[in-house]
Amino acid sequence: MTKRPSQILWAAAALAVVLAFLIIRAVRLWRIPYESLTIAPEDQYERIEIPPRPGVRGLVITGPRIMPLYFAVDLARAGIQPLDWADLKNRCPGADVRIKCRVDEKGNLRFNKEDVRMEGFTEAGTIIQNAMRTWAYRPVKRGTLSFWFNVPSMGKKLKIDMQGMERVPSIPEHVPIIDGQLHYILGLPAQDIEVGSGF
Amino acid sequence: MAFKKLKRHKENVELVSLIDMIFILLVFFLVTSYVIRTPLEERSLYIPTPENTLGRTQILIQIIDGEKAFWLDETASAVVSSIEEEFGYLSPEGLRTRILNTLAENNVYSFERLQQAMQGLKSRAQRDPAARFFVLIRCPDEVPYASVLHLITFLMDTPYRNIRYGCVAGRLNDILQCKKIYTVTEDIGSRRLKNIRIDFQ
Repeated sequence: MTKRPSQILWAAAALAVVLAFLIIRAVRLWRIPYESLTIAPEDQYERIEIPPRPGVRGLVITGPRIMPLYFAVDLARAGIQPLDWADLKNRCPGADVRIKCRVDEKGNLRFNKEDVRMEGFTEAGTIIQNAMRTWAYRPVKRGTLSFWFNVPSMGKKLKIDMQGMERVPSIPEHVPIIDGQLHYILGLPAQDIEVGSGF
Repeated sequence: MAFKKLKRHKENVELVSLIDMIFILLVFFLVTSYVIRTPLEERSLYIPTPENTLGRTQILIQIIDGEKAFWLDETASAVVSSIEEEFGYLSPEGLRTRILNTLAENNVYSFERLQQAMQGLKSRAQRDPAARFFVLIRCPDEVPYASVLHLITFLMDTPYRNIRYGCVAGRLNDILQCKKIYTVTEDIGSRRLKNIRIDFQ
């Protein structure tokens, strides 16, 4: 079995062309930078995050976060004095004092003699009033704010009634108002204080 | 009886088939090498089709032409809100027109400025890996899609890949002729946001 030399030459030439092409291709692939390497089709959907389908009926563009306002004693105001609970407890251990206050739009806390019930506990009432007359609130709520100081109580020693409070009308409705620290009393644990509506 | 001598056929290489096969291989390798040379980004971009619902985005890029784009982000909320407060006495149509005119006046960027704005967004994304940003790109039909691809590849080139994108066809006129544009307050999780809403229908 012999082949004609011309046929062998043709086959060799064809093989040489294919081999040359493969070599050139291999060299080109080898020189491709790493970042440009192909991802296998089956891996594409695992590696590439598919963005969500956009809607076209309308559009909502995210705006800035609306920061809440806090209704609390404004400690930045000048002359704010704390109430020393330990001192009150030492001097008047059985004190039972109720004060009904008004908070105006500027955050000032106002009350007069008729608003204070301190039968038998004048000294305690005076101590409490002296401190509270210096208190002022951030001007975000207004209305009636009532305090009940019950020093000997085994339950809550201070109850704050907020049911008479409302938002200051100039603050837009969409701005949330959060109730913060409604007193400035040193030495009274938070678990001894109840903030609610009515007592 | 004399045995008949078997004739052995001479085996030849079939040149026609060989050449056919070589050409098929040649075409195959040409095609595959072209696919390999296609940029990775171009092949990896998955553009989902839009749906007929309310869309949400943090940043809107409306391509106007090859040189300008309309950019809206969270800062536009304050602009719209202030117009609503200041010109609340206008009719709904008058208010809409005033808002859109103001936005069109202030928020049409050249591509250089758009590049700066996008660079700012990328910087934010790079500073905060936990942050997620979504950019909606609207492009008119007559603008080559390569412009969108250019924006997407620029935005996607972040180490944490925390900028996502959506693409829809659309013109600036669709926005300028929208039915209504206004601010809405929405609670998302524990956050309350003042968003801009554009109603097209």
